[in-house]
Amino acid sequence: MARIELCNLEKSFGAVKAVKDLSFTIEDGEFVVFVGPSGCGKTTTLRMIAGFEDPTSGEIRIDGRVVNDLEPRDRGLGMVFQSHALFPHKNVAQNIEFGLRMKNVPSEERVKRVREVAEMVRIGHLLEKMPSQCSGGESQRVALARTLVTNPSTFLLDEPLSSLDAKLRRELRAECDRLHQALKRTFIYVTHDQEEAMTLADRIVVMRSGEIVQIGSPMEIYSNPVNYFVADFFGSPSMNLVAGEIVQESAATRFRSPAFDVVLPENFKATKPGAVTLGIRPEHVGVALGDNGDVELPVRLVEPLGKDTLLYFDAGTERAFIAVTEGLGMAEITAGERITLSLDRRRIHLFDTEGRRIGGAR
Amino acid sequence: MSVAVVAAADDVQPRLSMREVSRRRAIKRFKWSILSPLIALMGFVLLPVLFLQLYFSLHQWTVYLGSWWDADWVGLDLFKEVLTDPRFGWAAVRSLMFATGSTIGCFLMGFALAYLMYKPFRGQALYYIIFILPMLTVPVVVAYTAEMMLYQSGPINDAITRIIGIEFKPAWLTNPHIALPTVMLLEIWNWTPFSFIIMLAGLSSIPKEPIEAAEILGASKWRIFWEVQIPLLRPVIFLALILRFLEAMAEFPKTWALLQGGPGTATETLPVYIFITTWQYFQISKGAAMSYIVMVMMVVIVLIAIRILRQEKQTLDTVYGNKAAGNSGSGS
Repeated sequence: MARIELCNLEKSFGAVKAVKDLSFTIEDGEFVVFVGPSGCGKTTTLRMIAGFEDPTSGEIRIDGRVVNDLEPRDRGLGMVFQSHALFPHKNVAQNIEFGLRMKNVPSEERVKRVREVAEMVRIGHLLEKMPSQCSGGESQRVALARTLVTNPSTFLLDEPLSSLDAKLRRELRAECDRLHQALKRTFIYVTHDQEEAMTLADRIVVMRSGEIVQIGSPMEIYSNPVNYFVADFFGSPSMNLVAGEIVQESAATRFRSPAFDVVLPENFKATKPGAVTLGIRPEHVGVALGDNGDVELPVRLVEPLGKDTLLYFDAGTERAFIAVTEGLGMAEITAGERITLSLDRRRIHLFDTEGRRIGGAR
Repeated sequence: MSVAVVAAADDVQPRLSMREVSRRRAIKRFKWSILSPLIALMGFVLLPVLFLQLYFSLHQWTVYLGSWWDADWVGLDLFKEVLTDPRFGWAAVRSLMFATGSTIGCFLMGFALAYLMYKPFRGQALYYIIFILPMLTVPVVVAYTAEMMLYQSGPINDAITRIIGIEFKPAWLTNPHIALPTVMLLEIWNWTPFSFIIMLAGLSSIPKEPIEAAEILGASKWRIFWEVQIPLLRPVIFLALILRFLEAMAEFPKTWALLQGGPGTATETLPVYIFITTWQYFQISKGAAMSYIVMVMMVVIVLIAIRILRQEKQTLDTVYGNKAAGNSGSGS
């Protein structure tokens, strides 16, 4: 059991406020991912939960008990660090059994438990090796095993995969997911990688400049971003964002920019005229070779990825306007060709000049 | 490269590219430009002194009786004399005791201070300067100040008597049993900053994650200290001990200024005895022979020290997986 409550948590380093008035409850057994750009306060929040940083104000409760004054070792948590943080002078088995030795577990039982968790994360063959002989992926598995063996109520993971290459990252991501399902423990995971957040989380907490921007399931965050920042941060390739203005014309609300002139659906009817940013995800942009569409744009680049093909268009904006088409059907298109695009009306987002989403929520 | 090696089997030198030739020439030039001042120093200063010492230690020269050039050849007699001189033996024992005691003292004090200081806090720089000050004090000044303070009726005994309320009057400088420990205490006061600086650098260079990992795995401060910090600091600890030991073996100014080897011969360490022999008894040749023997002794100690440090460096490399060193080696 571990239900973690953060109440009005604040942390300042000198004049810099790293975390501002953060309140949030993590339910028992939940997989929560804190995500945001570097310096957004996510790691500081995790380190406050772990007990390495004292909050400037506010409370941390684990199962209803205030733990602000407890040492890290008395909080019953386990932590995996970005740098693995293995003890370089101890071999893998000694690294794993460290936590058990600190709790004075008898030696036969230690050996048994070390074997068990080593098998669980598939490093049984590494037990005699020194950490310097392990690859990055193996080191992180050892670090996981070292945390697992102490059977903590909650796992804190601080960007555990960011020092690994893409393939290993995917592999260990699946491992984390599997462990969460098998152990049914609370996982709090910090990352700056939106893809990790999307694939792992039950709930995502998006942070920026020390504040929570949005909390929600991956699908909610993806399809209903509360502002420009979240819309831009999640999704790969990221959402198309086009600056323009709202014009009310003959009973229709239109969005206009140098390249676009789009009639907006009913739910944007009340939108006031003025500068806005239109957002639409690449997969909601339809590519038609005929004339039926909203806008005709020249192709700048074609990127065939195998399963999909990405088309980059010149929309007079700094960032290319992207559309995704399934398969390789469009791979033969050459740069410069003009193609008609249609925007899925139900998937259009509008953001005001402050970045907030305007109406249109579904 | 491997192709070139195969070609060389026919007794043909592998042809080097122009770039390789000029690169090698540049490295050679660089090596010599760095080494030549050292070689000059060796050739013009150290070697003449070594040869002169050797000459004097093999010839009996009495300064006031004749030219150094006419000194009588005595072969290894002086070495024999020194090695059978019990006073020399005791001086060696005293030097070793002095160096060992003061090294351990400096290390423990320096490490303790460094441990208190390595986490940043307000006013740290001020403490740092205060802790460094003794090292910046001239040893002779340390000795003369200590002499005033340590007189039997001096301020130190007086202060301790007032604090504990019982008569406290040890004769720090005249009791032969505590004279050497007194000099050791001064050495420790004087050179603790040296160990402090090295250990502070060592402590601050340990990555903090393994310590935090140990902390959250349930280790107490004490166990973190013994199981994580000390093992990671081992090479630094050896360095601090060895450098301090070598310096302490050669300590002269404080011992001389304070006690000139007395009371009796209680503080007569090797440097003091060599000085007395050479410049008070004017047995220059015997002094030279002693210097040679001490030099050989120190060379042996230094060789052992280098061996230990090299081993420590190796463990450090395996611990941190020194991959960079492996890559750069394959180029030549």
